[in-house]
Amino acid sequence: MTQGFLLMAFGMGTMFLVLAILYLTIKLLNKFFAPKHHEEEKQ
Amino acid sequence: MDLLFQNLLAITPAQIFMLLLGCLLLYLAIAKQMEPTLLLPMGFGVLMVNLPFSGAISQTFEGTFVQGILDLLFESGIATELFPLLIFIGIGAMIDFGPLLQRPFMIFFGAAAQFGIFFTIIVAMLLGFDIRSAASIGIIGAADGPTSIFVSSQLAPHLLGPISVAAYSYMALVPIIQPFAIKLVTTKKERRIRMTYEAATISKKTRLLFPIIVTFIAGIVAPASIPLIGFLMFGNLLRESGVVERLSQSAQNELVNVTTILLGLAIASTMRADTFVTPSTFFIIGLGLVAFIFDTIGGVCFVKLINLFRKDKINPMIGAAGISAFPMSARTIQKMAQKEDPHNFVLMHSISANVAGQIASVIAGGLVLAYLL
Repeated sequence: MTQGFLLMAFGMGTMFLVLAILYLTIKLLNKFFAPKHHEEEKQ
Repeated sequence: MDLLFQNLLAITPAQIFMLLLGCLLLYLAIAKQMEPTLLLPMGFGVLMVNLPFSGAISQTFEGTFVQGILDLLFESGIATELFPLLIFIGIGAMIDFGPLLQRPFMIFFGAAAQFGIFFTIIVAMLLGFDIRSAASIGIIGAADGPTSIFVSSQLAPHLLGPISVAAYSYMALVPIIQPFAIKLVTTKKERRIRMTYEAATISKKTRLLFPIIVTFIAGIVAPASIPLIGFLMFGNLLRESGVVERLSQSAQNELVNVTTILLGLAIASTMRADTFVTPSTFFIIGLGLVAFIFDTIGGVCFVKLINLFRKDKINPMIGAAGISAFPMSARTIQKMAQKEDPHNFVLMHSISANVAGQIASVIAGGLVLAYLL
């Protein structure tokens, strides 16, 4: 049982951590590589 | 003639049960169109495996071992993890991460909606399953067939058959399961919350860098997840690079199609009467439902928690779309929203959460493996 709770803490905790890093990464990517005008028109 | 009767009379009640189950899977696939790409090969495979003295599975006749083709497929395609990983390349090539890149905040809803996995692991352990079996059962809550197969083939290969049946069946039942679970934890007022939509464009560079960065980050945190994430993101890079259109199309079509046929047949090799008709199978089917319900509840409750601190409220149903069943979950949420308020359009938001669920479910599978291997 303890192992199950530990797995839950590890799994959910690490997943939120990884996804928080990804969130910040996407924000940075969107900031530094904002689409140029002609690219927007193409899309 | 004697031989004919000998084979017929050798059928056991458990084999009859399995043959009926095979017919049921075929019926669901053909008549109800429930995940037919996998349930049809599986259903037919179950028929081949459970006929007495089937030559499709390995047998020992008068001291001589004869290799069955379905066992060979299992050993070469699932025991080696090859088939699910090949399917991941195709899935990656099919996914458009654009909606998530437009609304990156939705990525957290993908994480919250994996709660059912870990909750079910604990429930399964309470029912007496060891941690590896419990984790394989819990991963049904990833709502992602290939991830369930990949994880259970490593942690509890003996449970692969029932886990696959549960995973694919419940994925097809998302339009029934999710509305029920959402209504348990939301009020009508909450379900009517409207959200504004602002279209945003994503640059080509962002789309190109995203799969590379995800692989890098997930690989550093949990190296065991590299095959899962890596193959998914490789497929996505094929799509987004724009320079290998033929490879991208092949991954989305031929590769996925051929592998799915072989995967379905190979899984059927584990669905033999002597190992499938056991109490644990029925527990697994029940626990799979628990996993899907608590995924949905986890996602909804997470949004409700966030809403406590936000001025612009988010429709809590969006959280339920953070599972991997794409695009079925997003469509289900949109239908529910319009049922409550015909002028409420939350589809774009729920699609973003749904795409987040596709990434989060794979990461969850990798983390479970990283912890237990």
